[in-house]
Amino acid sequence: MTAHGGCDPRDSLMIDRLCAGDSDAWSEFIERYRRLIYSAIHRANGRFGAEWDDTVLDELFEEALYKLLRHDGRALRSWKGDCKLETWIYRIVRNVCIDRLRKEGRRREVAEPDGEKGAARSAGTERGRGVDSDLRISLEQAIETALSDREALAVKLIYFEGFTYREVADRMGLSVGAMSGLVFRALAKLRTDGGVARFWDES
Amino acid sequence: MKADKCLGGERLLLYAAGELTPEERAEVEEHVVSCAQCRAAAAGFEKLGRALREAGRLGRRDGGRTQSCPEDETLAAYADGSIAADRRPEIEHHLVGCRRCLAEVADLWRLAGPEVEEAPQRSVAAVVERLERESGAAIVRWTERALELVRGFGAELRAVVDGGPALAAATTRATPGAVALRWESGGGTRLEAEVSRERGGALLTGRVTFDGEAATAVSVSMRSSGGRRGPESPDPSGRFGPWPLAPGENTVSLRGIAGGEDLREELLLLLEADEKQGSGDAPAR
Repeated sequence: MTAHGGCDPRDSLMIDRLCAGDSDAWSEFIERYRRLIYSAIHRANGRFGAEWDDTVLDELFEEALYKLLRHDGRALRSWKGDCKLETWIYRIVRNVCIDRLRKEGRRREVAEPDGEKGAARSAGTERGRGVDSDLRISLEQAIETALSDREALAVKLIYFEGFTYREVADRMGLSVGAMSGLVFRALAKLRTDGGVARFWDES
Repeated sequence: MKADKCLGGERLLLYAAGELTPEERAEVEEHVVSCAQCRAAAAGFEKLGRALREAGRLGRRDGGRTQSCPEDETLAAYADGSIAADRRPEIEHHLVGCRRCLAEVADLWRLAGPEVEEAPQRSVAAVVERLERESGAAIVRWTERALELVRGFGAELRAVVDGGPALAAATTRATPGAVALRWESGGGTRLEAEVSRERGGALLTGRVTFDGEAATAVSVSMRSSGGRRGPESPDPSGRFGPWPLAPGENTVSLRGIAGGEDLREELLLLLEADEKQGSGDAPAR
């Protein structure tokens, strides 16, 4: 029996039975996780800016469920229980969606967060304006060398991966106020960093 | 908020990032209209934010794994908060420098959430059918004893395998008008059954190779939704047998089972796993 330490023991038992070919466990797995998988695919559609229609979403669901269960649940058998089972399933869903984008010859994007962001963020997301590869490289270097790990992680999650301050604060165990302070200090460091100071123009 | 009091940098940062509520935003806008210094600071934050977002957009998220990348499950454990607190700093240090892993964590965060979408039943059925077709494992179901194969002839296939953990695998193949099942226990018992359509009926041929490990008898039955019934069975369920199994190969044949244009019969092959079973009619060889 697989160890699956730290996870829900019911999940561990179900996966062991599933990998042994117990079709009751298959049914149990499908019943328990079908909505989770389908919901995650819908969110991936927004996350990747894919704009897949319902037909494609259904196909992705089928592919994800198939990959989870094929070969007596091989993809699930490799789960050791260090993370939550749901997260392991999300990984499979993510990989299926990214594979689909590749097959479509598309590059994955990260959609901007939903919600009311106002003109400032809208203006900030205009593409192709004034950021050349030199600046991109300079910014990444400055983030990784001039900032602490936490500052750099917060900046990248907010500005590279499209999370809100509140979302990153929640993930990193900080208040929004503390997070804005952290990012403020980070941007202040970037302001004085030689590589990117030329872009910090308040005039 | 007093319009003549300059705002803190953090507030201007949140304003530039679009992170304020509409009310907070209105307050800031009221001030920056009349304060050139704060307006310039907000514009500076906005400009840098725009540059950062563009840099993030242009960077590759899908690079390959490197030796320094954490294991997939370690990364997943970081994403869902399961990772030990003393391991978080090393993972975060890696995430700062590895766009691939950062994107994966970010995606896992985004994909997690409430179960709000109902998966279509037809998609679930399609997957189950695909798995059954490929492995046969989905049609295997354990109960307490015996192997039972039920087949809607020419229609859907469903098999129920009973008999304990020694009886472990079954594969099926189906062609128009004929189906076959091959099944092996983990310990030497092997069963092959074929059902083919014949004029006015069907032919079932079963071969059971038995080493004395588990199975002791085989029987066959047929249920019909309206077609003619085949040979009379003394069993109300329509079962024939059970025939005792001798070590080695055993063959069971039934010919002339019900037929008709609309074949809806179910053939049922029962492999008894109870060691005490065994009496009954002799198998046809």
